[in-house]
Amino acid sequence: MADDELLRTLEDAFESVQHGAQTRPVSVTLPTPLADAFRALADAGVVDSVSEATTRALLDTLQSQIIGLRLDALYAEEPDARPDEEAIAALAARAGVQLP
Amino acid sequence: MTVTVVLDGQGLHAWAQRRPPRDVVALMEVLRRAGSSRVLVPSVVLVEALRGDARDAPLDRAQRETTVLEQLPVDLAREAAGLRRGVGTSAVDAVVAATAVQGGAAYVVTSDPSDLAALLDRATPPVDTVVVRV
Repeated sequence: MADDELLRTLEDAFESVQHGAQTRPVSVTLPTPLADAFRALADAGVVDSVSEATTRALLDTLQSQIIGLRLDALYAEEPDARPDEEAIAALAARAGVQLP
Repeated sequence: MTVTVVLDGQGLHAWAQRRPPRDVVALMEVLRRAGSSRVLVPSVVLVEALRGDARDAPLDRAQRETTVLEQLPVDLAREAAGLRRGVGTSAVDAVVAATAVQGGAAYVVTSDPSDLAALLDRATPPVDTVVVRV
């Protein structure tokens, strides 16, 4: 799938989820302690459900992927739009964001 | 860690541009590299951002890539009112600031950095939200 097509697919998915898309049960494999921890959080009422917490986490990951594809498209078209590493690091540091 | 950003109307305009301002691109690089992010747009900012004609097309696309908060809960409205008291900023700016406070936002992107900074300074407990100017 071309990046532009992938971006549109991801945008469609992202937007649909925001507007209450249908759900379906899927099987995912999680580390047992993580699954147990979120079950305990759900039982304690801290999170609505494991499904809800998982959806939120996946949506946050999807957001970053969409941004990344947008940036890649921008840099492909206008290479000099790429910010320098110092500017990125400085902006992250100002907010205390630790980047990998 | 999920990195949260709140956009005001001009912040949304900036991200919608074919070539966004350099600081906005750098910020979006931070979000990409963080691997987990939220870009929040309180729906009330669309009142200022949208023009109601064909010029909205880039904004429509940018909006699809963000989380538009369609509800304004009473507790958030109260927080906005509290931040705004004595500051004299617009109600929309106050909602943007309150959204940042309640959402634990790391950044706010705005064309009114002084107003947003003044609002965020009134948050209790204090917040470390970084104001990015466009």
